Amino acid sequence: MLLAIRRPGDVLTSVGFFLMISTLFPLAIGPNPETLSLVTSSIVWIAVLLASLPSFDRLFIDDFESGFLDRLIMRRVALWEYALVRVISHFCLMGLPLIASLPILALFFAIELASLPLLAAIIAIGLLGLTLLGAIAASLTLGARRSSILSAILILPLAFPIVIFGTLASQAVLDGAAYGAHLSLLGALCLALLVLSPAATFYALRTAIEER
Amino acid sequence: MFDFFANPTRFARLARAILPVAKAVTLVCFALGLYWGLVTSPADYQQGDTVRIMYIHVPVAWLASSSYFILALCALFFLVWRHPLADIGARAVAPVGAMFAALTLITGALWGKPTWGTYWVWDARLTSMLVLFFFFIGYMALAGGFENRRRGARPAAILALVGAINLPIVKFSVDWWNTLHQPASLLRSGGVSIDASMLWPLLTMFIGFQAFFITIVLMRMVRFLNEMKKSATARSAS
Repeated sequence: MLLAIRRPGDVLTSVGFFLMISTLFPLAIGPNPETLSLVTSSIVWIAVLLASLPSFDRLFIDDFESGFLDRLIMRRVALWEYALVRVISHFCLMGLPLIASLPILALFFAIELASLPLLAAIIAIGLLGLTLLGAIAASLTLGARRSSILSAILILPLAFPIVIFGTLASQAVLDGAAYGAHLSLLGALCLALLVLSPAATFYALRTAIEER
Repeated sequence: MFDFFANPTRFARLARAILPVAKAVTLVCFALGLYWGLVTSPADYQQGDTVRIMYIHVPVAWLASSSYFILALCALFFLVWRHPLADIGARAVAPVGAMFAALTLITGALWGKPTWGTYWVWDARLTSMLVLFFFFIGYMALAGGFENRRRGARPAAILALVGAINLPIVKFSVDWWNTLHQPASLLRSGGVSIDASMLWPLLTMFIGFQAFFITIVLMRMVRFLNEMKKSATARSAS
């Protein structure tokens, strides 16, 4: 049921969007490699954030409109478990392809190959946190007018800490500095979200169904 | 006790009793505090007359943060006890809080130009006030984002609570950057570090703004209640 949602076109579009956003930065900042190397991690993070934002809309809307959520409630399936499974599958389907396209970015911005696995791990942790936030926003805006721009407005302020520690940790990795503290804080944030997000999503989904 | 006040009729009566008092306190404190702060209180030995911006900036900043606290409290009451009045309260507080946050940023920018030499720096406190402003905007967008007004109530309340948990986290992470802003000088251990000639006008202005806040929020709540009553009678008439 969950895998049936898989549409390869969506994934490719979002990866293409990701690469295009990161192309915008050299065009806007200028091609000078030294200037670019100062902001590489910011570029990667903003591209990750912007490329994943539109995909969060799809988290629950299909199951909400097809009545799958109603059936889950009738069968007394715990909605927070459903939310968590949905987040993880979304992360695997939409998040991992973004991370898989990181080597192309490494080529664009002269990132050393040796630091790439660590960078990918940091971005994966941050992206999981972002998806958990996306679940809160997507469930809150179910049935709202202009829900996509609304959920973006809700996610962005909540995502500031992830962006701060994500860029700090990645820049430290790129500069060969100590990254442990930033990475631990990023991990702590995502663990906290792992607790908070399913609870909030559960309430929001139940509200959306009860008051449809 | 909350059940007692949650009755709309009783609330309306209470609001009618409080409103004139709050209005009067607002007027008296603003008149007194503005004269005291802007004319009679001494100029700062370093900052000169620009220090007078403080009499607006500081009370407004306090109220912006406490508005979010009240918003989250209303959201909690609404989610747990389902009192419609709590939702009305939260909706009434949100724009006022957003306005206070915006005023804090504007007065801060005007104060920053002569003292720091720039309107805006990406300092921790400025950034977290900006984030607070964004939180109010997000709440208002979600509460008003549904065709049916009542449908937005619970999602907005959930968002307000998620925001309340996240605000300290955001504040902490924003504090990670080193700060240009002076540390808090009023509420800290070891007593007040501001001279009485400046403290008293500041406190007067604070009470004035507090009364102003109560006035505006109560007026908005009463108006919401009247609108709901009107639409209910219109529906039953047709």
